Amino acid sequence: MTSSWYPVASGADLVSRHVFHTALDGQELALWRDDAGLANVWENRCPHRGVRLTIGTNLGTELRCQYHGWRFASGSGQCASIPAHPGFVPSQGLRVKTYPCIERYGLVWTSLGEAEMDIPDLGAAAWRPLRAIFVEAPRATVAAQLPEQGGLALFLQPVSETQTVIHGLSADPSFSPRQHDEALTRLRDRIESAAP
Amino acid sequence: MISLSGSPLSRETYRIRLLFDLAGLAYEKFDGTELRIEADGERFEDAWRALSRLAPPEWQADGRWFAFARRLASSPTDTALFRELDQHLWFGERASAPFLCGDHPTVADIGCFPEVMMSEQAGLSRMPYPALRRWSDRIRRLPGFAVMPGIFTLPA
Repeated sequence: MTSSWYPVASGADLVSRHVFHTALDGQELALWRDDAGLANVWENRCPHRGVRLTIGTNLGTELRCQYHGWRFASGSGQCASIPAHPGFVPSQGLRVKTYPCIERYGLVWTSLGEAEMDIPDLGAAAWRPLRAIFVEAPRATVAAQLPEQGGLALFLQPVSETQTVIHGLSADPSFSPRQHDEALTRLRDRIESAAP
Repeated sequence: MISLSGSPLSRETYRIRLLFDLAGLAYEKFDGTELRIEADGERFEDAWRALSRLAPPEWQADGRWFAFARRLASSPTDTALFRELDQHLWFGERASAPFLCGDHPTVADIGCFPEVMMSEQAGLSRMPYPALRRWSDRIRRLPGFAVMPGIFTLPA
């Protein structure tokens, strides 16, 4: 069980009425922002038939599963309605599994278990998220090759045993997001071409 | 008058139907699974030529992204193309350009859409391409959006 906070998206990824798809340590996640601005990090699985919620619809206050239209409330994940049984009040146990969610430094952080460590303290600088870079390589392989650079903070999201996302934050206004993107893309290509 | 026949499950037919439905072009449907496009007596052998010739001016794409869509159609599981598309759209989102050629959709978007939406049937997950997933939401919310089996519409 992963017992740390990991970034799994940027806040800007969670646009209105969208369901964002990612994974952490092999656990698929569905992320969505409700119309009041609250971000949800949910297991990507409808408790009814196990269908992925990322093919469902963000209705603003509820997420609707594509398969049978079951609706789940923002915040709790509690099933709010079932179209096939209009008068039925779903039981308290009927809910999507939810994970904790904190937005900090422009990133969305979560933890699959009881987090032993806090989110790193980056001070008061104006951090701007870069484009996340998806790498087809294990976390340890990527970690061994990350550059050290002032004004740049890099975090790794282990997606699966063979895939990692690099989340970058920049506090250096002289460096454009495009320059960072090109550098991180080259890093990704180097890591992937060196992989066995 | 425009007329169209083709398999409801073919990407080529879907591309043409998307253009007609999104751009509001009236057309007649003919039975038959062979792709056949005719406009004012002219028969188009090449669906891509039909796409650019029949698109109204506001749906015309710049050459680079139209050519990209053709490349994607011939290599629908090439992850390098998906990465290029995702990167372009991410920077577009920050430059008031939510579609491939700028602030409004064109035949370049229509050209890429079927391959993007059918990538998962071809074994290619869209999880690594978040900007591409947001773009596909935007396409599905366009007025007149046409569905095909397995592709859903989204409420406005």
